[in-house]
Amino acid sequence: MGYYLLRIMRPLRAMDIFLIPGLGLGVSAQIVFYSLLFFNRISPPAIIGIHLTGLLCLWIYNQYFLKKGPPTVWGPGQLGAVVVLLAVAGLAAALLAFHRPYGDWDGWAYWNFHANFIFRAGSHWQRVFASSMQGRHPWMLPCMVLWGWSFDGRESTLVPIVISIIFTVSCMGFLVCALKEYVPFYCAVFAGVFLFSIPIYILVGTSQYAEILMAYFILTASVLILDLLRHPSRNAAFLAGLFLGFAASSKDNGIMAAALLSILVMSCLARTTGSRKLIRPLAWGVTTIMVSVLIMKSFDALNVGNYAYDIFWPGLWNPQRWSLIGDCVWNGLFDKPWGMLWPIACAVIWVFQRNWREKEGITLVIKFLIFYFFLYLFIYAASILELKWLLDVSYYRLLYTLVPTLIFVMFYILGSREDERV
Amino acid sequence: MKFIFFSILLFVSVLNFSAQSPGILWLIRSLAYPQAPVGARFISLRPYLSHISTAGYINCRPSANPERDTAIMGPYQQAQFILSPVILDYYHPQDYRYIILQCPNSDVQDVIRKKLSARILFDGPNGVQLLDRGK
Repeated sequence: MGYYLLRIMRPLRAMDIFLIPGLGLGVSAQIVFYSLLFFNRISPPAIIGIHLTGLLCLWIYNQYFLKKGPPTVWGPGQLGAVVVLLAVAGLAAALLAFHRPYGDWDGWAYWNFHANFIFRAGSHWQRVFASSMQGRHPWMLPCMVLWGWSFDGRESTLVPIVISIIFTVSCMGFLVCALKEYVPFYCAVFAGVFLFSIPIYILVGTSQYAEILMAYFILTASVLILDLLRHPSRNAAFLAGLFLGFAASSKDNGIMAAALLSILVMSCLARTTGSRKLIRPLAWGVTTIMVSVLIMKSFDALNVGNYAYDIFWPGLWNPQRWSLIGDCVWNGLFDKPWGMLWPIACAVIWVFQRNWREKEGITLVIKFLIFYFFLYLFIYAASILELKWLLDVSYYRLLYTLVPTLIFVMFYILGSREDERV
Repeated sequence: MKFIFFSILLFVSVLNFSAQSPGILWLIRSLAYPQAPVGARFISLRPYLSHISTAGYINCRPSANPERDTAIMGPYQQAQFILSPVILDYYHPQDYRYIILQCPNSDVQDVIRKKLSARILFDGPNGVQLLDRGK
């Protein structure tokens, strides 16, 4: 489904191979969610029927009404190199994933729990909001798992495993193929190898957490925004908006990331008279996906009774809390699981400022990374939860979602020419 | 300058891969021993809970901070995972007719059961019992 939808929007390029899983699974998750609302239960025959009907319509449109675009061009040996890299990464991901068929703690205790509950509860699925694992995060990952179970007919552990492997490998593949458009091929492959070498990447990717989804969608949305600024078009704006919406529907943090990226790109588009008309399709793309998030949050608020995130304002002025946060950030810089990524990335961004300051697109992405990171430090300072525990369980996951995008930025800066426009 | 950074990145990548190699070898060796099924100790309760929508959960392990104690929250969340769509309440278990009691010590089990005026509906392995406070 992702393939046919993407072909409607634009001629396919190398990086689109790895946009297809995200688009397809994202759209399928939306179909599952709306069918849950419409039928008031998970109805596998309805979900399968809607998918098959949609596929048929898309196939007919693609086959008979769409002009065939030029084939994707790969240089000699390029496709082979990418296939080898991703096969090795896929094998490592599969080994880790099948060794932990239920994933890590939050994988079964939160994400798969929600899928389990909705699958078994029938028309009483709304009771999931009454459980102590309140349905606060958007349901993209549980809906993807439910989509798989609808076709499989049972709650198999295989579906969440395969989803985690798909996103782990697709994120790496997209990083390489997207970078290939801006930097020499060897540089793009090196970026993929470097991402693979970071110990925590495949470990968290195969934990069945939503972090790998969020990392994938933030990377794809950032690159699609770069693409939009390079080749402005309404379809490119809508596609970028869709992936921003998918980022928002992966986790609560994703809502903040998508909002920040949306504000940055819209203010960038608003500055140029010719680009202002792209704001509307971008907004439509985001809204198309955000509607489901708002509906889910409404159910949550109605069942819980309130939807106020408690904020501890005095925490913002508490030096002890900031000292704890500062220690966590400093120790995290050189932590083994990150493989020295953070100090090297900061050094590259600082030393090669000439390579990016004049380029609006990559500057926008760097601003997003910096603003998002510091915004979260403020959220930590103002949280009512026990700070040490919160930092221990969530800080590394916050950073994880930014890793692929940061590596993209780093290799873009190192590999691109100074006279490149975007 | 770019060459220096590329060299650093290459060196760091090699270091990262070599640091991971013991873990990879361990992983290959442990493929014969995959992760135990989550919540396996509670799965025998499923047939008894098919008509129940909510139940209490008690873990007799003492803890200064039970919400942060993985030895308490782990089994509780595993029970919730495997027994869903039954909602388990750890915080107010005494409010429910059916209660899952997890306690390895049979004397402590008896004390809690008497306190709750409950009878045993199902006495499972690993100290897991399903109690009924109804008539």
